[in-house]
Amino acid sequence: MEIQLTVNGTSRAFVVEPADTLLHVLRREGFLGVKHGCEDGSCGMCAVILDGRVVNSCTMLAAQAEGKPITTIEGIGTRDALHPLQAAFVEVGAVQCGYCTPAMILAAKALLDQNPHPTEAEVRDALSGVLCRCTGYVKPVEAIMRVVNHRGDLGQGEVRDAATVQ
Amino acid sequence: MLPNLIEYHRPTTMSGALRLLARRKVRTVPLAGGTALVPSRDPSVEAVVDLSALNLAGIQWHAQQAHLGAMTTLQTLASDEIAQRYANGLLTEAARVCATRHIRNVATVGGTLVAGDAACDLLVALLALDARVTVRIRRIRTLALDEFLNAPSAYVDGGIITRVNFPYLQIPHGAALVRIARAPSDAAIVNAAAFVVLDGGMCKQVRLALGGVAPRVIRAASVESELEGRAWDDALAARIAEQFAASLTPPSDARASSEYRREMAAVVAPRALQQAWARAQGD
Repeated sequence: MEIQLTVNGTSRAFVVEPADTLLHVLRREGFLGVKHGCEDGSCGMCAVILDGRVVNSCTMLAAQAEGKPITTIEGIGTRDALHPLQAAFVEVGAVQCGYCTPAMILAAKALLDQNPHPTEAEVRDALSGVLCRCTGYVKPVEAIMRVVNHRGDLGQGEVRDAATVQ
Repeated sequence: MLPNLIEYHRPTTMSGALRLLARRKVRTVPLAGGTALVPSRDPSVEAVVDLSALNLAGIQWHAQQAHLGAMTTLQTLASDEIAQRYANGLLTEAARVCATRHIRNVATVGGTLVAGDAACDLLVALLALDARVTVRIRRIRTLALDEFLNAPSAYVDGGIITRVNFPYLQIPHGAALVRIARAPSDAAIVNAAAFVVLDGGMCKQVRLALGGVAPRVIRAASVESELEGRAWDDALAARIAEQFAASLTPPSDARASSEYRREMAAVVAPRALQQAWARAQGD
């Protein structure tokens, strides 16, 4: 079947099987920042922002995402112009092994887009679906709170053309 | 993923959806959020009917009743302002603790009923609120959640859950959810939700529901009937709830043994009742 997906601002047709999860389609199309973890919704490594909300792409059929904007980590910041959240993760040293970092950034971005001034408890709730196996959440929470407290509102054109990442 | 899925449908009318679900040659099931169905790897599922275009989402608070559309996400419920206030925020707390943010953004009220997790915080909360379920197959039928959970497939096969409703009471009441889990963000091992309606110092209505102590969440009907119509007595409530817990034979699994669950049930059940009562008096 053919479905229309909008990934990082670019809309195009994708040929998928009904059983294909959004995770499989995105990785097949080169969005490798979407990690393939547990495949049952426990770890959150496959997070994407769908229609403004962070979701697990592994427990969703690709067809369910039709017509809703999808943002992957490839759509956030560039090597030369990091998104403020990415910059804060670097400054604070919140990257750890890096495997869950895209999911952390996406979860934080979805939160801050909705609520630019969350409490620390709200930040921790936003990260509740991301399972870090390295050290924990102290540094990521610190990085996100740094953005909340020092950078003010986000939202400076961080979504760029998906074609540039393929 | 679903290994034998060959069809995906997203009908825009209820009649179209029911027509697809009535087919016998292709095993067809409803798809709500998909957070339980998609990773289930159920080999019997050949077709899904995505319910997202049927306008089944949304929460309405009427004068006497609250209506939760079956496709309302757990996050929508967790952030509903009236739900945050009603019954001491029992429903919003239950929705928040029963799944991570990523899952709450997608998982639905109706899907939670069908998944029927045996220690689901939202299900114990809904049982304590006396929730009823509306199912549409050929006709529309409304039944108690407790009855529905006895045999979900018997009630919903070939049909669609459209709504969950519960009384929206304007008289003094209190509610509490008490849960035991390895960590606050983990799934509950044992949980209890209580809802108490006051009439002066009398206990007019009591609802107590427990999770993690049986193959499905249950209501402690004997505890409820023993306490209703009496003056509240903390020690008596605790004793009756403990006796009920001691009579259970919970299943053992990787999370906890049967014995542990029984002992913890005897802790969470009295605690939930006592907290609900204390909060009812604070109103």
